[in-house]
Amino acid sequence: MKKMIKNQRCGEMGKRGKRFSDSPFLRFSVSAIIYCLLPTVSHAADLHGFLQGNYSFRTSDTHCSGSTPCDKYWLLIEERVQISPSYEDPSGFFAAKAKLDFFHDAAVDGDFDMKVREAYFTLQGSSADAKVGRQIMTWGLGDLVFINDVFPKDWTAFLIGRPLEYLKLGIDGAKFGAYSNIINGELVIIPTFEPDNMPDSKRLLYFDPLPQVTNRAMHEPAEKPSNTEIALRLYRPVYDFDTSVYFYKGFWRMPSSPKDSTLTKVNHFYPRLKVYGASTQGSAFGGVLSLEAGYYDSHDSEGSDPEIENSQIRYLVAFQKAVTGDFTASAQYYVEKLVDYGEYVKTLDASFPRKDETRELYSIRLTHLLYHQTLKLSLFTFYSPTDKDYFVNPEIKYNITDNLWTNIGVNLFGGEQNSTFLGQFRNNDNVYCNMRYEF
Amino acid sequence: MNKVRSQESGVKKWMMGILVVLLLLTAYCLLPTVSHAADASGIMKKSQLAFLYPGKDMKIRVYMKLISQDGKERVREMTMLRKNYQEGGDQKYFIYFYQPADVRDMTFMVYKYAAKDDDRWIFMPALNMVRRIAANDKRSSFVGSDFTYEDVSGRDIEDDNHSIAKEEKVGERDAYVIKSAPKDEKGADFSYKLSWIDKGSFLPIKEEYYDKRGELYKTFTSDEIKDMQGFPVITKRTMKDAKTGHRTEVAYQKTEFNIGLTDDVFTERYLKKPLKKWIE
Repeated sequence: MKKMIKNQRCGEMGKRGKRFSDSPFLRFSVSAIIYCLLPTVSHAADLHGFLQGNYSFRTSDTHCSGSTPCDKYWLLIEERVQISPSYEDPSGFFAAKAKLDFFHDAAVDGDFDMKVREAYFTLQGSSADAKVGRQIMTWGLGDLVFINDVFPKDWTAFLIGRPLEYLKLGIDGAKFGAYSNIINGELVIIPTFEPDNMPDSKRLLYFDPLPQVTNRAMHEPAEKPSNTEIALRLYRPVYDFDTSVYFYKGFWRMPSSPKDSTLTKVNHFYPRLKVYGASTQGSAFGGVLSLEAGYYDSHDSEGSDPEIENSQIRYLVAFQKAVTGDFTASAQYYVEKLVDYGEYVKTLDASFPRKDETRELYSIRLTHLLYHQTLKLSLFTFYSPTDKDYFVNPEIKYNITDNLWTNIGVNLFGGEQNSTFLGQFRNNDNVYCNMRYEF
Repeated sequence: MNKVRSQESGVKKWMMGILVVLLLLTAYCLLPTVSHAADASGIMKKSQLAFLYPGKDMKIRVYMKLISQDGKERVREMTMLRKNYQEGGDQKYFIYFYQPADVRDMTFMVYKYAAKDDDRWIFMPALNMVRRIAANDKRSSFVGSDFTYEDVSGRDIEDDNHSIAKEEKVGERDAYVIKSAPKDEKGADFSYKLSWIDKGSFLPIKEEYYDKRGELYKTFTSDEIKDMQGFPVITKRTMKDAKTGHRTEVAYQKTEFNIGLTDDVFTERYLKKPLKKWIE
């Protein structure tokens, strides 16, 4: 197969929606929060945050040429400051919080920049609450696989060794909760679409089916009422198992991928998507057992449009157990099955790599805490017997003091083909380290 | 003939009398050991009720110092809520962390069951994520301290054989010294434990844990006992690792009983956003 290296400025796309000036909704939220904070700063506000250095070095040597990233180089040379002001009124009814990141990354553009990571206010009643503004949402039970967690992710952050919290991107929206003894519910409304931050072409090498096409456009769903995303979760305990059902109506967060080798211009867009799912988690067999499933109903006229992902059935089974004292082990089995596989095969351009009908993924996570839990040794691995690819991430984290921690880790990718989910990153092995002072 | 018969019945009566006396003597000799064992177990039950179950519910602000042998300190500060569901049995715990900085706003919840593994949940604020965590090993360290989960929420009395080793004074307090050995050796780190139980309050004044080689490996001491709303409470305590010299000092800064904790405090909703009135 010919060498296919993506040379598109996906990093720019990922930044969209995160700059303060881009979102009127966010501007309103931040202004409202600052307005509420100002008169009360003296007695009820709090200020926290951190200073962080985050460095990552790509150790793979690809011996490539041209404009693509080659040889060994720094993926990340970043200093970051997070300022997190918060306020809660004495009754606890109203609260507001923001996390503002100021950073400078010498590995890519070297400019000083700022992002609003979170900025929201909450209203808390006796049986209902609301959270409005930019906020991180996490649903579902997967360990680095996502079925009912339909909220945006930053894959670049994950691949180059940022702290795990940076895998999650905030949504600009509102979450409403209602609670009772019978059932609890969370309704999330997202008027402004936020895509996943795809692997950044300025740092990473990955699979591009149309490497020769440089003329590309990215079309995000327009901000109009019919494009408002809705996510619903209903949950309650069932026989001591935490059980949820989910529904999502919105869009794929990864862009469409054209499958026509004759194209000279590519128009990426985010196809419509509905997800129906369920999960349950509880104590069983001396550990914690997790089950989750979802049906991805893609807007893809029965699998016949090769540009749009087919509908999928996704499910996982996971088990976690404390082996001894501070040593915990967990294993997870995840499956993604394409619906209408026959149509997919029939309509796919023969020059494109063909996915299997079923993708299986095993993962293992081992965590060992030592020296009064100040030293954490962890190992996370993915292995897919169907894609024949893997990911290995050993990491050591040490809390030097209560306020200062550091970590060092390695991300190793491999696979027989450069078109599979993990295999495409096989030239991006990296060593990363972080040091963070929290206050 | 009649005389012979009456002599025989007289002998029988004597024999019966001696038998009854012998039986009573045997019973008398046996009784103290039986009642001693029952007493030891009963004392431990009473002690557990006084130590871990006072009031219907409780709210405490806990300040914990982890101190290494060379004097380096780390701090854990939290509010702990506890509600009893069954005397000496099921309980629910909710913990909110103020510091250290990397766990600020983190919450932690335990449903403690008398007859099976606990259920535990943790909320990680940076990911806005609630997860269950495996709770099958109660011997793991509680937040990195010298206390284990078992030390914090109690060990099932039925898991050990208890006996009264002696009775002695500790300072001004009269105490029972109870020796407890696990029925299943694999079910505990200690081969036996000595507990000095205050005869007045039934609180543990001191505990010594001995490993499989019979060597002392950790010591618990009650450093201050105060009366709080009519309940005697250990407001300062220390657990010291006898081998490494590392120790954990715990101080209760505020203690309130019977505050009317409702069941919904111990749910996912409040793990994510605890009510201000319960954690202040």
